[in-house]
Amino acid sequence: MIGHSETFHDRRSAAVSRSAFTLSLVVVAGLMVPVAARAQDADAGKTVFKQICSICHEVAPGRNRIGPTLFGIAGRKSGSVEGYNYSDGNKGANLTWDAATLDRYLANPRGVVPGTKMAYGGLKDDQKRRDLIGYLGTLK
Amino acid sequence: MQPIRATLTTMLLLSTALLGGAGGVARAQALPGPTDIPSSILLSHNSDIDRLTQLTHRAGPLGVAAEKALDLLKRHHRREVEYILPPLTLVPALASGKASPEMRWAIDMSDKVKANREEIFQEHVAITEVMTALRVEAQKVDDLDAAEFAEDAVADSVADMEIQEPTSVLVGEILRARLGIAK
Repeated sequence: MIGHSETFHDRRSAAVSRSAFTLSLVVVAGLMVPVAARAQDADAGKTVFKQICSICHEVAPGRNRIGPTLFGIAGRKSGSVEGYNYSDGNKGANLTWDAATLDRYLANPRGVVPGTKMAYGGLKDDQKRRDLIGYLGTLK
Repeated sequence: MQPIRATLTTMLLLSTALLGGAGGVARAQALPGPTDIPSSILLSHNSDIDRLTQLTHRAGPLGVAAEKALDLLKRHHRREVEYILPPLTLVPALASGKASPEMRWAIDMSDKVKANREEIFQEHVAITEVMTALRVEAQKVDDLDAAEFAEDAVADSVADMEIQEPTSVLVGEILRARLGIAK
């Protein structure tokens, strides 16, 4: 009886171990999926733009609204769109809008450009920010 | 909203300037006090609240988004009425070169605007967020009226930051200079 019970426990332990191993694989695979999805998706970024940014910004050249046009933003100097009345903070920021700078600015605008009048708290979602930057890079 | 506000503000300024010609005594009696705000802005506030209240009656997420926006806008208006807008009632008189000790009440309010600038800015950030959310829900159901309201509200919010709040600060600075009051 005892021997039978031990065998049963052994089998159950082995089954539990196999399940745990399988679960670990699933968890590891699950962690890898977001890693694979971290590349920029400009189409998804366009959706982010439409939902969040387009209330203030246009993407057509020369069309400033509440904020300056975002056409040609990649590689542009901060505070340099003609015809747009920037805050002093933005005029004096002396930044170049490359992917890294945009990433920091979009995450925390006021932290990167103190005094900016862009009344936006920041896009905290890393993936959405990457996607948005991917989309902004297409505007040229 | 903006063109209406601008037109009403111009009318207010013109009528104040015309009334200003009635004589020194009458002007002194008609001076606005710390509980007054420009009537054009009061009208604009009421219009915004009415429109937004109507949007809260929309079904589903759009109505919910409108309720959040309404709560925040009312809070912001309370702040404006408390100390941002009253100094603006003195702008016409100051623009005409006048200043009197009866206007001193505006200095404290003006200082408060200056001191709370970052807090006020963060309120504008929150307004942008709720109006953006309102617009997203409006676009999902093709509600152009609601989407347009949200866009106008964000533009108004920026106008507050660009013009209204700095002007309120300037009123205090001008009064100090003209009345010879040290900081």
